[in-house]
Amino acid sequence: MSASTTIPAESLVGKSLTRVGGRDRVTGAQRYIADIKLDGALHVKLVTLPVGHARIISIDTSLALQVTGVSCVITAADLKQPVPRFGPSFNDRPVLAVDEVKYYGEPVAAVAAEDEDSAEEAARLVQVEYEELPGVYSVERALASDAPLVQAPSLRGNNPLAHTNIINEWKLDWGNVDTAKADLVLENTYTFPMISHFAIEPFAFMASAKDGGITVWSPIQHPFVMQRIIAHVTDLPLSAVRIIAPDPGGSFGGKAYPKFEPLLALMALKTGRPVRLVLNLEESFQASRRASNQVWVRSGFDHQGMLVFQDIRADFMLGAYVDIGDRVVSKAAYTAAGPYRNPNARILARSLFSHTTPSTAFRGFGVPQVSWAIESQINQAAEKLGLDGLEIRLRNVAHKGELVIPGGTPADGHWEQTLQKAADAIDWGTPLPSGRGRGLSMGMKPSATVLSSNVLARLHMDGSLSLLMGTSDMGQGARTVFVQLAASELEVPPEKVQITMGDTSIVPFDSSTSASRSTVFMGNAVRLACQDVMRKLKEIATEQYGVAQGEIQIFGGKLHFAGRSLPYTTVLKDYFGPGRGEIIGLGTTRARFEPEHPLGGNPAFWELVAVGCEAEVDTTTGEITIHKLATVTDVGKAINPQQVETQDAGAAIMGLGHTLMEHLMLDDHGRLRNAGALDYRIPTIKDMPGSLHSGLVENQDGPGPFGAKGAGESGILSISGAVGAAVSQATGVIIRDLPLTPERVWLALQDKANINPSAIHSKSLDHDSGVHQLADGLK
Amino acid sequence: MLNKFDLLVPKTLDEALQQYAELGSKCKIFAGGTDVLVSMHGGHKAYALLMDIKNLEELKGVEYTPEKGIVIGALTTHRCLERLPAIKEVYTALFEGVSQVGSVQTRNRGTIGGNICNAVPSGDTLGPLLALNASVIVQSVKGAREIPFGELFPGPKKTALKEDELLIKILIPARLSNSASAYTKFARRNSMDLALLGTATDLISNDGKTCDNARISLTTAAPTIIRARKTEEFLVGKELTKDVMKEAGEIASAEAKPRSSWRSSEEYRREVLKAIVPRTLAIALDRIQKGVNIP
Ligand SMILES: Cc1cc2nc3c(=O)[nH]c(=O)nc-3n(C[C@H](O)[C@H](O)[C@H](O)COP(=O)(O)OP(=O)(O)OC[C@H]3O[C@@H](n4cnc5c(N)ncnc54)[C@H](O)[C@@H]3O)c2cc1C
Repeated sequence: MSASTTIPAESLVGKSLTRVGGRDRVTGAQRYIADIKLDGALHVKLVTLPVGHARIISIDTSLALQVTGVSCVITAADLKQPVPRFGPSFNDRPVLAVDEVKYYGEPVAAVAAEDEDSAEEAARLVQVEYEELPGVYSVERALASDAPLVQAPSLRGNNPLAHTNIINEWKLDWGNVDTAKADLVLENTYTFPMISHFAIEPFAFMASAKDGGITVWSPIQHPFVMQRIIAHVTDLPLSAVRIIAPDPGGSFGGKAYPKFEPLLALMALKTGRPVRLVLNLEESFQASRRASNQVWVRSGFDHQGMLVFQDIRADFMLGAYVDIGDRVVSKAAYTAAGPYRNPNARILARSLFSHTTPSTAFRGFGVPQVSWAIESQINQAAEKLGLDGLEIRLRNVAHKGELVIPGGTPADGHWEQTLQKAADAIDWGTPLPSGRGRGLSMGMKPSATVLSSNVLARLHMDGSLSLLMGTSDMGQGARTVFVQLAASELEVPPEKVQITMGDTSIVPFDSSTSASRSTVFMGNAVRLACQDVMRKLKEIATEQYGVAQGEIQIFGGKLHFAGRSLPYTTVLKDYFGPGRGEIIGLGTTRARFEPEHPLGGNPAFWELVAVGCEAEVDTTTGEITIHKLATVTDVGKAINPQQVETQDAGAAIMGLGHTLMEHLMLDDHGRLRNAGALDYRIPTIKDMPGSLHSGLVENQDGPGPFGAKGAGESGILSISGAVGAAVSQATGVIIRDLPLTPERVWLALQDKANINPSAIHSKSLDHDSGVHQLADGLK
Repeated sequence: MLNKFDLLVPKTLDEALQQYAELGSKCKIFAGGTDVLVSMHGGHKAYALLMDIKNLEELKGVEYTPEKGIVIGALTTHRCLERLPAIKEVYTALFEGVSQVGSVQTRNRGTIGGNICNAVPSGDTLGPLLALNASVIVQSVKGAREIPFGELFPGPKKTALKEDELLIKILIPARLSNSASAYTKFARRNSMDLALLGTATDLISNDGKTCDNARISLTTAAPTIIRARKTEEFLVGKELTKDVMKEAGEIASAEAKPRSSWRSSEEYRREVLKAIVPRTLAIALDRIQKGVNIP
């Protein structure tokens, strides 16, 4: 049987192989955590308070404990003291609220019962006496001098900012903004809303303690980060902590870091029983979100539209605990000035505490929040200078090899091609149908930096291949790409490649499934592991057949030497004896840690996108209709073009969500008003643009397999800027707050129609009073 | 968590009415359950006793004759209605209502009777039925009676049904010649959303220009569904020019009673009415002119 006869290897790369596991996903056969039942498991329900910030006076569990089937009610007092705290960056989040509740949804107690209903009933009977405290629910409040401190200074060591609500300040400065001479200066403030990941699979967790170790089930993106954190809260060695992470049902960053797994691990150890906790949608909304922000920006341009400087101050409202939020802000700061040649820039991005759900990773990781401001500035400059959105970008976009940040990774692609393709996709430059507007934007995101990934490739005696790796396939199609890469490397049929993921006791270490990194870094590791298998095949062939290694060639799934062609199976059989062995290859990739670098190291690639949009606005109601939306991404090489396109389409639609309709709202008590599917709107299939195009630029110039760069986030990076520009061209009004709901657009139109500037109806429009200075040379 | 409840599943209408007469408000009727069960899942309601009426033959079926009009069994689902040519081609406003309820899945379960009896001002069939001059047949052990749609909703979330009455069917009169209807649902996205506002029009214009009669209803524009009577009066006898329709929108907006909430301001809701009332009138007029929607 010759492996290579079915599929010629090279044809696997760049082919849209059917999604591995896709059928199970769409038929409902896939088992998510909530589908997995553990014998004898106790059901957990969290007890929360209807406020964002409160002092806990007392907790009375006596009534709850009387409910039949209740096993225990755990409060912070029942845990070891001090209560373990955890987090990916800082150990600041207690497993249960200690003394204070700091966000709406933070558990003060957890009930464990024999069944779900009893747990829920008992949770309602836990009597918590509390005093509501003033909360920090906005950027303004976080920075106010009389604001309550969200986090106790004692938790922050000797951090000079410990007595403020500022978590961190990220600063970048190059050139000299103060002395740079610009002909046009635009100064404005933009806001981006707090939004929900809204993965279709709500959060679900299980834990079970056995034989001195602990097993935790979680739909986590980064099983090895979880392992580290569970080991930390349980004081167990890593080898005693097993994380089982079945493929998540959507995540988008929301499931990147631990939520209630540490609590469940401690409960499993305490009760000696397996425990499970399945959140409903409303509770899932309370468990993760994206940071909102406010960006003040002053941009300078010369006559020709060349960027002279960017002066940016961005304040991100993180939640009650840092989670990974501060890293989000660091990346936002790093790329704030965009994919352009900026001679002078001053960037200050601050991460702020508030009494809200901890914000975490979210597709795009801080970039959409700053790109909205920067891209809007560029569009307005084009308008003021009589250029258009394409021309001004063509003049400023960094060419391949040029720096976008001093000392950073230079532009790693022909970005002007990407831009031009996006413009062409929406017929830029052709006559505009009346009532419509067009807009362009670009977005740039740094790849993952500090990291390592390992793959074990096991070539079995029948010529099939097992790959073991720590990536999570949450819908992005990682399995498919790795099957394609391994099958093409070893020239085995793709259906003979099996991938095992999601169990830290089986798969080797991987730092994370994030930052669009897996195809590049894990993909390279897959190839290295396969090459290691081939090296070992040559080794055993040398030993077995007495040929020099240099004389052996491997192609077509066979070893060729001395006029012989032996399939892998024959070599394995000859060497080990029938059915008695296999070859194990290891592939490792690593990116070095540079402590002085703001990101821990220079990114290996840029994820780059250009977006074009054609939109129409009903000026009577403010409704926006998106006629055309195009994203074009520089992916270097699409290993599976269909997957890249659908990822980009999905990301673009997600971007339309925060651009047009999504917005988590808080009431005066810091409670989410619109947690759930009714009042929190994400786009439906009926809200799709008239045409949605996902274009690719493939110049094989990335660091990944076959020149690939990461993909999957780029589509979301700068949707808002392009839509905003189209709306502004269609209506003549500029809106600087997202989302562009019909009511907000209508209000802005009223404002424009109104000669009396005092008739500003809404606070949200305050930001529209941008200062536009035209300096001497330009009148 | 769904509370524990008892379930009655009567097989005949007599049995159902008998049980209902005895139990009254102690028993919650449930048809498709897309309102009832959802409210229980959310923990807002905890009914101890439900009566599933899905087996009652008398509440099923649709009969249409051009001369007499249409009779729709209360259990008819939105999905079934949206697929009936008589609804799509003749009672177009109702088609535009039923076909915009939630998603296909919701419409496969949700019934028109449930939509009516749920009695929220955003119900998508309510405005069309009011404009189309529908009435309903309700029945208890004491007998059946007809209630015109205009008298069906005495207050928010209330119907004129007595404690022991079931909604059996909906009657919509035969269409008059040279008439057409339309419903506009204004929501913040294009499916899976409740009407932020809505308006239905049933228009008669014999010359295809002048309004001979108009029945206009407004959805989510007041605590209950309402007729825009001043607007209707204003329109009668007028040529339906752009300006006239615009003015109609202003009148409708003024006679509506929308409220401000965190979801939307009163001011904006009034503005939307000014836009969608003329839009809907224009659609109905266009249908008359094109001869669509005419029996
Ligand atoms: C996801 C989702 C989306 C939705 N979207 C929309 C939408 O866009 N527009 C809209 O209008 N609605 C919407 N709804 C609400 C709901 O689907 C409709 O109101 C539906 O028509 C209700 O019908 P049902 O048969 O499911 O009613 P049920 O839930 O069974 O009953 C509703 C009410 O009517 C009473 N009732 C039902 N039948 C009778 C009867 N024959 N006699 C007396 N009382 C009766 C019940 O006691 C209850 O009070 C949505 C619901 C969901 C879950």
